[in-house]
Amino acid sequence: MHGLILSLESLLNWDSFSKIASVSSIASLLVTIWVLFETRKLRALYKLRVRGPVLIKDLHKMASNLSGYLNDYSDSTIRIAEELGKIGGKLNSLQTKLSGNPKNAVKRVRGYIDRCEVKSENEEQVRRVHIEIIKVIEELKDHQKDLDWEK
Amino acid sequence: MSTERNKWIDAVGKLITLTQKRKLGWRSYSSEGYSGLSGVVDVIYQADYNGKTLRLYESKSRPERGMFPVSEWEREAVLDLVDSTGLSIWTFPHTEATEHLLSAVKYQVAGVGEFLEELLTA
Repeated sequence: MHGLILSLESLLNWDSFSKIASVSSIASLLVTIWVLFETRKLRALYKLRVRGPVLIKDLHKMASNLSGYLNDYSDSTIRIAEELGKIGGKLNSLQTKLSGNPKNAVKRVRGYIDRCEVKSENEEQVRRVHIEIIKVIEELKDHQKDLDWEK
Repeated sequence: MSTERNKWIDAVGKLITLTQKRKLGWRSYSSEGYSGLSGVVDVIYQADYNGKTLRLYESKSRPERGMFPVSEWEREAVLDLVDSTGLSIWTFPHTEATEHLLSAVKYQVAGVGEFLEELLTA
């Protein structure tokens, strides 16, 4: 019994207390960072749940417009450039709400759009970008379905 | 899965390009007399490519939710490979690309481009 009291006293001396306090404050800092990170993730998820379907619908409409302009490429370069600009903006808005693979896919397509110069000799490149936009829309639709499952 | 799907999107993308560049010609038919089509179909479009026949149509349906069918029609483009007797032997997985192909085919078959050109030069 006496030994136990002695060891408790040595455990609760100022030095040990200060060590325990330091470890606890580091642990609480880590927990705070984790909570902050999770809250940010939740906020992004919530924004995506609410805005995602609308943004995807807009993208779908813009991609259809783009496809329509490609029926007559040489006479539609200005409208194609405008539509690509709008799609780039929409993808940018989506990118901030995404993470992981969908975010990378959106980023990749934005890169294609940024590098794509719409002029008569670049028709094939523009057509490739159009197909990449379709792929990313499909990926986003899948992602949205996954989110619905997580409800 | 997405890599596999991307392959189909690339393939349909190629058909879109060929259609828009008038390298793949489509014909339109009334759906009467065709069997094995899914949903309600008005017009069927067909094209031959590399000895194969492609069939494209817009399938309309009113899916039932609960006890009653919903009031709005749902539309979906369907792209098939058909044999010499007109039977579907393969249906392409549906993606956004199939919808874009259908628009391009309608534009080509309706002769929108030619009509616009004639109208503007008249």
